[in-house]
Amino acid sequence: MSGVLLAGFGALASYQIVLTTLVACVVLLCVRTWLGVMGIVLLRRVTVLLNTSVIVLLTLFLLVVILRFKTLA
Amino acid sequence: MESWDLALGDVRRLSRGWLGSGLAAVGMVLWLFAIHQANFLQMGPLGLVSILGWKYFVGLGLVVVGFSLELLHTPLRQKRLIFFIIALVLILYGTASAVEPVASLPDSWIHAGFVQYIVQHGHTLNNFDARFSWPGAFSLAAVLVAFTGQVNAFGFLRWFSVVIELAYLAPLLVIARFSGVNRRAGWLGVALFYSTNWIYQDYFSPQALDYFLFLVALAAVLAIWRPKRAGQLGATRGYWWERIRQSREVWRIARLEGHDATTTWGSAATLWLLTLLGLICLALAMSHQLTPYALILSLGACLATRRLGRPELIVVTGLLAVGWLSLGASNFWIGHLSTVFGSVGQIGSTIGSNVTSRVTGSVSHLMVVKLRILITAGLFFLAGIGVLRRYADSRTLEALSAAPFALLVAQNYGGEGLLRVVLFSLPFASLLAASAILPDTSGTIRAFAPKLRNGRRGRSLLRLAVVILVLGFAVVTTIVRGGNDSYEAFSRGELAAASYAYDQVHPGQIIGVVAPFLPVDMRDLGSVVVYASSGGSPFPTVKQQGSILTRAKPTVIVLTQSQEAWGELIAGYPKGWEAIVEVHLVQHGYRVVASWPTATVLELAPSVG
Repeated sequence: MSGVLLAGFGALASYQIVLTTLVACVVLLCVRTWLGVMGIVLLRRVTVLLNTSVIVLLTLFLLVVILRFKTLA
Repeated sequence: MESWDLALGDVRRLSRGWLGSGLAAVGMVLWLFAIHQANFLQMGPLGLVSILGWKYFVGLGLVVVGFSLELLHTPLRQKRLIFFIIALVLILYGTASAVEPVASLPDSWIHAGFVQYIVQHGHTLNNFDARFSWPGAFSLAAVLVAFTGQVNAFGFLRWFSVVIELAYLAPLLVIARFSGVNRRAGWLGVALFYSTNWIYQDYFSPQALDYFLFLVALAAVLAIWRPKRAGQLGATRGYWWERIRQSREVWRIARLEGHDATTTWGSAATLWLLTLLGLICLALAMSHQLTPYALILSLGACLATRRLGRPELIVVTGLLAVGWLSLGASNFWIGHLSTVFGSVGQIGSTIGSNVTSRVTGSVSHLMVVKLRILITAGLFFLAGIGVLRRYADSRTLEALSAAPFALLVAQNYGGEGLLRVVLFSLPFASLLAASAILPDTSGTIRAFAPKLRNGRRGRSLLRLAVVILVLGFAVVTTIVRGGNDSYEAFSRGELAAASYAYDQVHPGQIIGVVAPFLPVDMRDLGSVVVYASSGGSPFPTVKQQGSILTRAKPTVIVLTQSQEAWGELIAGYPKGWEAIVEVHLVQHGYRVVASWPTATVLELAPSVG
């Protein structure tokens, strides 16, 4: 991702942005699943941080997908 | 004398033990005779059933009676029951494949064309067809074609339905085993699934493969997680209040985080299975438009009813499905986003386009369509009785039966949404329907209806009920599943005519047909165009058919028996209407260049072209 990519608002609809947020989201969800299945208990602060990151990334993903639909359609 | 009595008793026991299997064996022999004697070329307006003689129905009846005897045998012999189900699958899904000379359904030939394109070019054809934007299953088929040294996928088409239906059996048995119904109800549910699945989405298609993956994913989830034991409901006092209180539990954070489900599986095994489920979700997202969303709703139903311990699975499935739609399928939606979101919230028009618009055509076609509605309504009515009669530890089956219907809020799916939704709901509704006859009598959630006592003849009545239900549904499914075969199944002559037409044309030229009911688009995708004169709605008159075709000036025109049957049954044309079109074409510069008993190919004379 270069500065050029983020220079325009419409650039947020590019496939690189959608793919990056998608992969980041999936990775965080995999980590959360792994921790849950293995029974690893994290500090409350870390758990909140992890959950917040997932929610933020999910929201970002949905936003860029909607933007992509609006821009390209 | 005593030894004679003993021997007689042994014979009776032996005959009782093997009576069901013997009946099924005789039934299968009769079925083999029936398919051997069926003459495809004599097929009438009712389709496949019009060429099946009494041997088919007696054979089917004997298999069902044998299944009923075996189902209510004590002890339950599950290994034998598998053979009865396989026999039922072969009869219901193998008959068409055995009787019809080539694969039926134009779509299966089109899908073979998609596969051939990938084999030849190594990639999909952009902007050709929406289905090519979800190429996962086509790519897998292309790999299999190359792996088996074939030049195309034609060899896979004819028997695909039987193979994939048999593949469904494994996840269905797991679902039945872990869904919370008793063993006998589970087997009966599987039999009801097969005897009511008329929807015909098991032809060579991505949705057939994805339905298998859908079943596998849900079978795995139900096998891993069990509901944590909820408190037993009070006997009488505060009964409804207790039910309402338990329903409100669905919205607790702990429930939504999966803490109300428990597993006895080790963490390593659970992780491996979750990894496999993730891969399945990825394959689903890349292969079909609708199935991933049905899986999301079904997984949501499992979570709400304490049968899913990891809600991340739902989110990952959703991410992959939306991600593929946004990135991989952009060719499909760029320029026509209304196709994706245009029918959101329009449930009335969705149901209208899914049901009422299909109730048209000739008397025989109308009968088939009405029987389809009747069989579906009958199964769901029975499932409703099952809901009232069964005790359970969770209402997972009810939730799984209802969840796919939410898809109708978002999509009418080209008028097929309701069919697909019923298909996604069918395995679970079948188990509920089985519970109407063989309900569980213990569980933390009490039945709505009081327990019925089995009288002295209880077991005989149960056997009779099983036979009536399974046989009744199976006979209706035989009629309605093959109900379109008079125009959706093809003779060898029709396939030869279509292949001949492709041999005559060069890239960029057009093959003309009256209606797209023949094996076309199975080769030369993107270079040869197939033009159907009855593409729009309402259907043109017979006279207009000829002039529409001559205006389009296709290089060759293929007229076939299946198109003729389509015109008579669906478009309301008179008998022999294709001959009128042919005369019109000959008068306007076309000449007959090849003919078979069931097909004719006409070519545009060089001077006219």
